[in-house]
Formats: sequence, C-alpha cells, structure tokens
Amino acid sequence: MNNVSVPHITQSAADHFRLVSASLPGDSKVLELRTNAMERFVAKGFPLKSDEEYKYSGTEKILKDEILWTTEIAPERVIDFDTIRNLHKDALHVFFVNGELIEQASDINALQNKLVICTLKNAAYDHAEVFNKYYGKNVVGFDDAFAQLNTAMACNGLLIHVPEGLIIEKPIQINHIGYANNQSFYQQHHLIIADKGASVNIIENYISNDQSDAYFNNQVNEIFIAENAQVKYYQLQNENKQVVHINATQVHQEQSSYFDTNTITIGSAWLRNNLNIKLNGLHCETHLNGLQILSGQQHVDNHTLVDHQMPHCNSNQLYKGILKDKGTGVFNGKIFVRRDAQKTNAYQSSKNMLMSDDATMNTKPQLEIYADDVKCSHGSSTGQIDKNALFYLRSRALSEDKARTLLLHAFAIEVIEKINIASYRSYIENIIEQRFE
Amino acid sequence: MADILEEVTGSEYKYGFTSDIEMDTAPIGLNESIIRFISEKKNEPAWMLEYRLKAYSKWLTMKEPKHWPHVSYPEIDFQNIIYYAAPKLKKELASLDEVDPELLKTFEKLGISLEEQKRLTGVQSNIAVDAVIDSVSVKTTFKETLAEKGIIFCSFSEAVQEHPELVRKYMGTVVPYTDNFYAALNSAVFTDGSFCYIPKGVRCPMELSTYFRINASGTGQFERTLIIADEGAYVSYLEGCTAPMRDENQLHAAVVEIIAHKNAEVKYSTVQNWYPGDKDGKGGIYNFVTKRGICLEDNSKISWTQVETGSAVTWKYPSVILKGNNSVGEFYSVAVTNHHQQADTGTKMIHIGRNTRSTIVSKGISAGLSNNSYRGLVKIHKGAKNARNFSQCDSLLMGDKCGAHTFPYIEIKDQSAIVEHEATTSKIGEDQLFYCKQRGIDTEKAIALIVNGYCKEVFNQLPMEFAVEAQKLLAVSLEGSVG
Repeated sequence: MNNVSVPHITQSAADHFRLVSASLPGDSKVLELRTNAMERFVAKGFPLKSDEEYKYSGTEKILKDEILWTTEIAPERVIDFDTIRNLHKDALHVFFVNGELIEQASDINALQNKLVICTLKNAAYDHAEVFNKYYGKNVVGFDDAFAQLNTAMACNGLLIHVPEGLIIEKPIQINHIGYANNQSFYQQHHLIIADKGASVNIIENYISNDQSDAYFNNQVNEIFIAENAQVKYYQLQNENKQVVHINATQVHQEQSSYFDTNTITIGSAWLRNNLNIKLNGLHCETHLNGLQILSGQQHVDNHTLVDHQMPHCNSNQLYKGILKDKGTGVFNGKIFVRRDAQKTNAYQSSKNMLMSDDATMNTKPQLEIYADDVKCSHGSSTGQIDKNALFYLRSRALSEDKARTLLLHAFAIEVIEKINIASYRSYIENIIEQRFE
Repeated sequence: MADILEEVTGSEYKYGFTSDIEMDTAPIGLNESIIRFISEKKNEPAWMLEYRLKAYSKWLTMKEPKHWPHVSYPEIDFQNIIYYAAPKLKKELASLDEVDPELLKTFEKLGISLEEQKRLTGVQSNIAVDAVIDSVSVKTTFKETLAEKGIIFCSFSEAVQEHPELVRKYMGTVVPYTDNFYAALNSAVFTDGSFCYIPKGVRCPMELSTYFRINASGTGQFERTLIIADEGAYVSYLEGCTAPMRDENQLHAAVVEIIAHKNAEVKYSTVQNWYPGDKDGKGGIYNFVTKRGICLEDNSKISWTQVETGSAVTWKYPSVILKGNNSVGEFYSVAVTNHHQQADTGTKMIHIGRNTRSTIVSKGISAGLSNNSYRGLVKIHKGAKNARNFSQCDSLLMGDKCGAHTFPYIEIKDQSAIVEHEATTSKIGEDQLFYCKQRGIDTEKAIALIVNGYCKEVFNQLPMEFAVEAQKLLAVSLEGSVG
C-alpha cells in the first residue's frame, strides 16, 4: 500500500465519485455542477509544489498512501459532548463527528424557530429551492483542486439560512470532532446564507481526541451575505498533530454588508486555509484575522484573496504567526482590485515570530491593482523577541520564561482582541494562555 | 487631460532610427551547427564550444517560464531568430579613425560620441565605454588608461582569447547554464558582451560603461557580462541600451554575472531603454535577462540600480547572493511602463553568510494600458545569523486602465533574522497637484516634479551623468500620462 503517487490518488477520487454520484444530495442541475467540479479536479489533480498557489505546500508530502473515501464512526467510542459545551456556555452547540451530524446532542431544535438549520442531505429535500440555488455557486470560479473535490463529493455539512431581518444573538458553535480511521478522507460543505439585514455569528471548533488517528478533513464553507447583512465567522483549529486539514471559505458580499472572520490555528499536522472574499456591492466591509501558533513539525498555510469588484469597499487583514520547533508557516495574501473598484481601501499585514532556528516562515503578501484611485498597502515583518523588551522585563525581576511568555502573549493578543464575541474571546484567551505555559 | 494623453501617445521613441551598417549574419534558426558556427566565427577554444553545447542540450529540455510571471505575449518562435549578427569588420582596428563612419554616426546619434570620449582623456568624470552593437563589441575606449592600473576592460570575446583562465574560472559560477530557460539559451548562443576585472586593491578611477544597441532586423541579442572585483577593489559600472523601432518583436536575453571578493564593492547601474513598441503595442523588445551577483567573501558589497523605461515585455530580477559574512546587497529600481508595456521585475536577496544586510527600494509607475509588477524574493538561509532586510515597494498608478502589482516572496529559516516588507499603491495625490498648480506650476510640470520626487531615492543612487539622463527619460516616458 505504501508510496502511491499523487496522480493515483486523484484517480481513486474520481473512481469513488462515479460510485456515489447518483446518491449525492441535489437536483439534476446540482449533479451537473458536481460532475463539472469533478472534471475540473481531475484535470488539475491534487496541487503539487510546482503549482504557484501551492508553492510552499505541495501535497507530495501528505498524499503518500491510499485514501479511504468513506468514514464510519466507531460505535465503541463515547464522546463527552457536555465537556465541550461547558467550555463555552454562551453558545448554541451543534456536534459533528467525522462530518456526520449528531442530532440528539445538538441544539438544532432550539435554533429551528425562524432560522433554517439542517443537514445538507435534508436541505436537498426540505429546502430544495435554496439548496439548489446556492450550492457550489461560490466555488465555480475558484480554481482550487481541494474545493472542487469537495464540491463534487460533499454530502455532509449544514445549511444555515437566516431570513430577512432576523438577528441571531447567540453564537452558533459548530463542533467538529474527528474520530476517523487512519487515511480516511471526509468532506463537509456548509451553506451559510444571511438574507437582507440579517445577522448571525458562527464559530467552528475543530477537535480530535484520539491522538493516533491521522485523517483528512477537507471542508468548504460558502457564505452569502445579502445587503446590509452581517456575518461573523470564527474558527478554532485545534485537531491533533496527525490531521491534515484543508479549509476553504468562500464569501460573497452584497452592498453594505459586513463580514468578520478570525482563524486561530494551533492544531493539525498540515493545514491549509483558503479564504476568498468577493466584494460584489458598494460599501462592503470585511475583516480577516488569523493567528497561528505552531510547534513540532506543524505546517500551516493561510491563503487569502480579497477581490474588490465594486467601489467604496474596505478590507483589512491581520495575520500573525508564532513558530516554534520545526514549525513551518505560510502566509499568502492577495488584494485584488478590479478596474471599477475605485475608492478602495485595502490593508494587509503579516507579522511573524520565529522561536527556533528550525522554524520557517514563508510570506507572500501580494497586491494586484487595476484601479488608480485606491489606497492599498501591505506590510510584512518577521523577527524574534525584542531583546530590549526582554531586558526591561528581566530588570523588573521576571524570569526569562515568564518574560518571554508575557511578550508572546502581548504579540498574540492583538489578533484575539479582534474577536467580536466576548464569551468566545475569553474562551480563546484561555486556550492560548495554556498554549504558552 | 485627454489632449495631453493624446500628445504623449503620439510622442516618438527618439532612438528608433536604423543604421545602414554592413552586417555579417548567421543563417536563421537554432541548432548545433549554428552554435558551432558562432564559436568558429569567434575563434573560440574547445572548452568554450563544449560549454555552449552543454547549455544547448540542457536548453532543449527546459520549458519557457510562462506560468508565473505576470506578463503575456505570443509564443516566441526560437527557430525564427538570427542568433548572430555583427557589423562587418574588415580588419583589426588600431585606432578610432578606422572605425566605420556609419557606426560612429550611430553612436553619436545616441549621444555617445566615441570620438569625443577620446578627446576628453584625462578629465575626471570620464567614462570608459564598451559599445556593443548587435551582439558584437565594436569599440572599447580608454583601454590603455585602464590597463595601467591593471584593470581589464574589454569585450567578452577578447577576454576569451586573452584571459581564458579568468573567464574559465568565473563564467557560469553565478548564473550556471542550468539556471533557467533564458540563461541556458544565452549560454548556448551568446555572442559578445563585456568583461571586466579589477585587480586587488584597485579603485577603478572612472565609470565603466557598456552601451548595447540592437540594429539588425530579425535578430536576437544575447550578450554576457562578467565583472570580477578582486579583494578590496571597487568599480562602478553602467549599462545603457536602445533599439530601432520595428514592427516585429525582438528578443534580448542577456546574462550578467558579478563576483565580489573580500572587501570589494561593485555598483551596477542600468538605464534600460529598449524600444517599447508603439502606442498600440506593436513591436518592441522582449527583454528576458538574468542578472546576478555574488558577495563571495566577507565585507563585500553589490549594489544594483536600475531605471527601466523600455521594452515591450521585461522579465528581470537582478539578484545578490550574500555568501560572505557582513556582506551587503542593495537593489534600487524605478520601473516605468506606458501604453501596452508589461514589466515583471524585482530582485532576489539570498542571505547565506552571517550579519548580512540587504535593502530593496522599488518604485513602479504604470500609465496607459500597461502592467507593472514587482516580484522579489528575500530568502534567509538557516545559519544566516543576524540577517537584516528592509524592502519598500511603492507603486504609482496613472490613469484607470493600467495595473500595478506587488508579489514579494519572503522565506525565512533563521530566528535571528529581521525582515521587513512594505508596499503601497496609490495615485498622485490631488492635494499635491493642487498645491503645485496653486503656485503657478502647470499640471504637466507638477506631475514631473512629483514623480521625480517619488523616484528620488533611486535616482540618488545613480552616478551623476546617468541620473540626469534618467530624469529626462522619465519625463519623456510619462509626459502627460495623468488622466
């Protein structure tokens, strides 16, 4: 079984698709879209190092063995949902195990009131119109092999549809618990739709308790934000250090809408975040923030693209990384300003700290600009702990360890502070603090 | 504003004339026998031919780098290029009087009077010129004066004949023929170029300069420059280039290698003004150049300064490998694109030694329908302790039909490194323009003033003679291009 080639795995995905395609949720149009996505995936194959977009994250390293395309929950495993719930009490919780919704543990009924929240499979029947209208629409123009593969094959995930004017105060926390077998590959696909003037806060929490399992999690989140609507979308990526995680968030914003995201990455062996924001209306506002704290042999790649299609939009990005041991961090961000998107304000910043000589940081902050009346800038810096600051704290009788921890904490807090849900922010603060100890 | 735009688009490339010089050319196309032909023409030793053939067979296996640069151009037919074109020289020239008068006229038109150079011998601010026309060096001035100091400054072919040990020792050490598609092509078919060697402890008393001119039609220019600064030496080197206006696209693929030994310093300045094509994007030079220097030993310094205003398509990344401890690399660039020009240019700073420093200042100006990209790499190797880099990349957009892009690559493998990168994109401030106009300066002049101020940081790095030329060039390239 050892050492199969990447093209071989691409082929095995295509074979599996042929087996299951008829049973996937959606009408004939969706099936056509899935088939097209599969074709594009096969044509492109899993991205290798030679692919400019995966220059620092070629899949040669992670795709070495046969992949199991189906996952089953091992019944003997008992999951303590309440512990997870208690860590963040001020939220409504939804639980997924290996990409399957655990309905009896989730607060879906409490949410059902006016909001539509259901699995993708149910959505295809109960909310067929919405599902067929939105599924895959934000992925079509996005030439990423993983996202195409997901769009072709995904049958799990959630549809969250917030109707016009509805404001959901309590954050919805989606907990993903990985218990999958070695080499299993599961894919979820969320559709999050906020109609005019609606507002919703969503948190995705990725955990995996079992230290021995190495699985693949390839997720796509399609977020549609209508006029004057607001979506806050936060992720805590804390799976164990065997897991390969690929996460694509495809956002489509209409006039005067607001989107805020914050990605905290501390887990996984190999992780890639793709964030694609399309600003398709005037006066949109979008904030992307991320923090990665890596140790061991972790590899984390944050890829962002903010596509300014219309005038008078603002976008802001702040990504920070702390790299210990042999950790490898990548930040690749692009501000893309189209011909018509005058009066754009776009800012991007990437700041990183290397804590060891074996750590590596690769950054590629990019500007691609076709409109002249814009203010766009980016900054990137990589360095180590400021010796003067360290000395100052040492002179105040802090131990070297304490002083370092304090400085790292101060470095990280800038990203955490941008989380706009108080209860979740303190939850993250606790986790990060533990991480520094 | 529209009128002014009209005026500029009508302004002509002033170096676009052709000269009627008797030429000696190779048959069209590329194969092994062409390479043997070139080598034979130049009466090269066997090792040189062997190097060319090795490069050629490597080139055959390589692909044109088309997927990553932010430029697009039609497929180049490499079999439809003349790889060797030289002005016919009847015999060895003993003095300038024997040079073909047509040739001298050409250089006079370009503002480089070889004769005048001769007359002014002894004046401090003189520049020694190596004039290269269609891949062949026609005349090198001040050779004797330089020889007194032990400086070797001659054409590349001459160096192959007279200093084979130096050429053999250094050629291909910085840019091996395996490096990239165009470097391989150049290594196989290069015809001439400049060679410069500054011996131990010598400070070159004058600016050395090479003037490149493409003249013949249907040819490609493939020259090679090799500069070696031995221990403690210093040299400032200038490079200028122009080409006639033609409807066809001509290929220019050069290789420049710089080697700086202990405590040596090399300053390399370029004013690149190849024919950029007409206002509809017809014709122009494809400029695919590999330029790289290595700070081989401790305390050495290499500095690149470039003013890029020409070429239809530019693909150029002057780089420095900072191998010696405490070595310094610098890159200062102004890249201007107008009409349909495309430029993908920047630098690479590879930090290997300890306490190495590099500075990157890049100013891009795009106007018309052009696209101007900065693409740069800063790489800190493991063990490159206390490496320091600062990069500043600014782009200025003039008009709403052009594009300005920044693609920096930053790869860091050492925790003691401090690397900073900043980039901005904007247009000329309304308030700045208003201020100037309020003081009675018309729009045209105000723009020139503001742009000059914007580029000042880079122009300050140029030798005086070049700085003046560069400023004028900039004014011509951009005249009224603000809409």
